[in-house]
Amino acid sequence: MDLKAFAIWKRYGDLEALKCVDLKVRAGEFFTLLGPSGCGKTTLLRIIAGLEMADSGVVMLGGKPITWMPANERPINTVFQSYALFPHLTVLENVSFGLISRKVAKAVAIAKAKETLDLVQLNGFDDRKPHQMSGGQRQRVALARALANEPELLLLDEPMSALDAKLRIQVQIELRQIQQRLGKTFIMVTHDQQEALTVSDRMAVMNVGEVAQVGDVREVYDRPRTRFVADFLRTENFIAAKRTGDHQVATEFGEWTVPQEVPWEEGMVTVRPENMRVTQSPERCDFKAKVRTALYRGCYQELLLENGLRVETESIRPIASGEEVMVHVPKESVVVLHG
Amino acid sequence: MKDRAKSAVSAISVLIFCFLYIPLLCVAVFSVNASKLGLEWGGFTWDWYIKLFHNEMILNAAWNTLVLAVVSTLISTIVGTFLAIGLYRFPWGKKVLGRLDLLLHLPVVTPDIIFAVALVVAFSALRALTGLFELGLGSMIMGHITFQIAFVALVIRGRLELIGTDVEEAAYDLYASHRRVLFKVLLPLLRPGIMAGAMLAFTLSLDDFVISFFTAGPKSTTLPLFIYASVKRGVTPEIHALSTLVMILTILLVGLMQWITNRSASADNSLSH
Repeated sequence: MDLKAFAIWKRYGDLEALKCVDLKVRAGEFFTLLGPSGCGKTTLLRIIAGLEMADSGVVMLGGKPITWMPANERPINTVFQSYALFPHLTVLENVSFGLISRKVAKAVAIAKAKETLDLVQLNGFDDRKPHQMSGGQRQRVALARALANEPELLLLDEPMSALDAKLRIQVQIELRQIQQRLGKTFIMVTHDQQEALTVSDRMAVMNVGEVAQVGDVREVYDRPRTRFVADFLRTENFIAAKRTGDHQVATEFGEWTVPQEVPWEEGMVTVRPENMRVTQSPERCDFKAKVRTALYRGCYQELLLENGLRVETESIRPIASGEEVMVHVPKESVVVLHG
Repeated sequence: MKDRAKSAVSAISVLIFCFLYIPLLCVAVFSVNASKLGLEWGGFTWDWYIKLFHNEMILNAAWNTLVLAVVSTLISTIVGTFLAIGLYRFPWGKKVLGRLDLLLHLPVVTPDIIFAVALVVAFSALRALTGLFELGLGSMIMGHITFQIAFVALVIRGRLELIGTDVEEAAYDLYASHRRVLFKVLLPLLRPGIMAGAMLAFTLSLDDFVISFFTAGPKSTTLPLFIYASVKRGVTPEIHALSTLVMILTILLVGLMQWITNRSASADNSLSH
């Protein structure tokens, strides 16, 4: 089901955790709330789950208001960051807990729980207790426990933060596959932009209680609207510019024609390090710069230039610190920031 | 240098333990000493223990002590558990919680004697008003409950903090009613805390002299009261035997408590993620 939240406010004493947040999540999509810690993303998730009540605003699920509905009546389940498994219950009892809460016959609940454990590829652990399992296995139990209820909406609060890097990538792929197979709406909270890009259809980048930008993951990644979003998605190269025409800016590296309209007289443009090119031909050169530090990153080299910019090049030829390089900036990759 | 410091520390620890346990050990030794008076050793005997079990008054006092401890522990554990849950799970404001916290700690730090006198005053006032509340086992049970509750609640509060609110939230998220959360999640997880609290309450009741002394009636003598009364007539080996038995019982209780705590420690690893 689709989820809509309108004008959500939440204060904790003097702290404004959410400032009039609007959110629309479409049915069947994998949506991610991305942002640094303290941006209010977890608070928003808890309000959707019903674990916290908004001071004002409306939450709607499938067109029905659920703002004041208690957590145990919402057709929504959550995978908690700490997993919050019941330590005194076995895996099977954990996974069937929600079904039995809803008075489903025990045999049916057990069958459904086993089926869900199959889905997350966790067979043969039925009678284990959570403390007898590894972190990755516990995470699967938490996922199965939520999915067994066939929720209209699944919430995931930093579900992979406790896993090591290698396992995390594997779980990301599986999570994406499960979501596509079930066709349910998933909303995930994370501070890891890579994770957000990998698993989601759309995402919202949040900044201190507000949604800074919402959109398709590619769109947000390629066309960040503000410096905050660009910075959070590690665009890194910020170049001061002056407007000289509708699609023209003047920078310290020359006059550039940019793909978007320029809304200001003086502002910022940005180019991702991987979009800049080290070139050999003088006519394509936008600027020359000395390399302050060259870092070897395996499949690419990262150059920190003396003018403060960062370039990633797939050049096979090793580039040394102190060398002067010619850099080409493809103008279609320049992003005009709005603030 | 380091070694010397180390051995000094161990030597001091040994001395401290001697200081703590030699008097208790003496009592145990005298309880099996055949000579009735004085400090000389008259040979080994179980006589005092046998006599003890034939003494009607002592058996009666032991029974009273047990009834008092069991009943007061049962009630104070139930009430203390719900008090702790109410205090630390209800969304009180910070200020209010601070004050309630203080109220909970007050009975723990108030000197027993003041508590006891207050109880006597309260009981006599209630008696004047209602004609009930005669001093006796009933008033002693009430007296013990009043000081046990705070201890129980404090022990359970520690457990509540360890559990955290995640698990309960997860249960609500999984459609559980308040009832189901309480009986299927919260109480099972609190069990080690409840057991520890009950054990503490039980030993406190068993040991208590001051409050029992003030709130006892003529027929409700407990072991500590009996010992106190007999000591006035001179310490007999029977008292030593009785003290030794109480001591052994206490040690068993402490051992049981530790066993319960250790057993639940492994399951707790999954709580503190």
